[in-house]
Amino acid sequence: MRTGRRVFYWAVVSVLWISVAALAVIATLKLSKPERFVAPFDNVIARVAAVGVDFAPVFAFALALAQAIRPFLLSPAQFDAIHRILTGLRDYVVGTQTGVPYHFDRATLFRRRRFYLPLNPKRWRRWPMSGWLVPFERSGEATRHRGSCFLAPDDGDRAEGVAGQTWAQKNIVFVPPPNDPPLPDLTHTSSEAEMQEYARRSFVEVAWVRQWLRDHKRGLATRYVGIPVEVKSRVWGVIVLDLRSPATQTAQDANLKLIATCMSAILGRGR
Amino acid sequence: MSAIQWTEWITLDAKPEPMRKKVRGGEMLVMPSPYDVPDAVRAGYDFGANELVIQFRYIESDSAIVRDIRQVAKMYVGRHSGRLMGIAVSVDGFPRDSEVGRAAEHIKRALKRARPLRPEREENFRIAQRGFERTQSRVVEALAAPLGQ
Repeated sequence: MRTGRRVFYWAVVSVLWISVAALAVIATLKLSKPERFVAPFDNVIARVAAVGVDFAPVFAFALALAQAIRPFLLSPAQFDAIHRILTGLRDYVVGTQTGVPYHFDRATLFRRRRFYLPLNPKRWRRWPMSGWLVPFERSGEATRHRGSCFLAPDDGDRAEGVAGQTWAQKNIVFVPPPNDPPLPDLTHTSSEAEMQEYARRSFVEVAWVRQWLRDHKRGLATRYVGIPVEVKSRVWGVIVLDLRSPATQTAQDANLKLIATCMSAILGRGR
Repeated sequence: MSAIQWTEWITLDAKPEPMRKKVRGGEMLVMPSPYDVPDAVRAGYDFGANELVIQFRYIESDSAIVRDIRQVAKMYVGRHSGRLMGIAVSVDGFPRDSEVGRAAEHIKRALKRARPLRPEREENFRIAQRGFERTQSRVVEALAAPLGQ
């Protein structure tokens, strides 16, 4: 997914610059006088100019299209900055803990989309136009190519997961509250009652928990923190910290305002 | 809010309070979004309209729409965000030393009366009000200084 975004970005930028260069060359050749050049260049210039004029509308259309798409794309440098912020947030909250795999604790940026249809038909659970929070970028280097999507409809009561609740509340959300016991530490052998408790306390369906444990064969987070992210004064998405190891710092101590400021500045750039 | 002589931005000490919420049987602690908490306030005098104005600063800027507060003051609300951007009260000309404090009290009362246009912005209005109350003396000081009093 990361490579795809990078390739698409560079394809659009390439189309933009190639179109500009081609239109400049066509205009130059059209304005030049071929008879002033020695043979065989006079002939070549005249023919290229004639053919180029035919293709000018194509280049002009490509230029306009690329120029229209470009503001909606993030550059690789912007993605890199977002990745660093998420990794920094995760590292601050978790600290350095020996013996705990890095991917046990993650910070994920979800983007809200009105329409989303997963590539895998097994994940077609709901109507694609319901409104979804789709993973956009994640901290660290592991588990970056997969992620769950959560329902975030206009009717906030139906929002799913901590991501969905953060979207619905449009506030910072701690699940469970900091002084409460953590969510059950589930494995694929956990009892039905534990799964039900986890589902209830994390605002997802039991079927989702069961499916996750069956597919991933690893545990789920026991603490979550959700932070809304706005661009141009509208909620763009949310950051979700999912933690399995005991955190050394609480997310309340992290400068969430600074993180939100940086995210908004990066995501809003060029729009 | 144009042609206004502004003071410097004054940092707001608006400590948002967390709140426990129960949704579908699950509990969570909710803290106001960092975008809803103003980080600074400034005051100014509008020589054209004879108004004393205060303006709040947020992470994200937004264009403002104006609404009356019971015909005694005006509030500026973010067009997209619905956040409280500022308050303006009419004054009888350039406020003198003693009048600055009184005008600030007038703003404080207007802040208490201000009601959000969207229910989800209730907390933002409360935070702005509390923040102004905490920094009111510094706002009055800053307002008096550039006016040469």
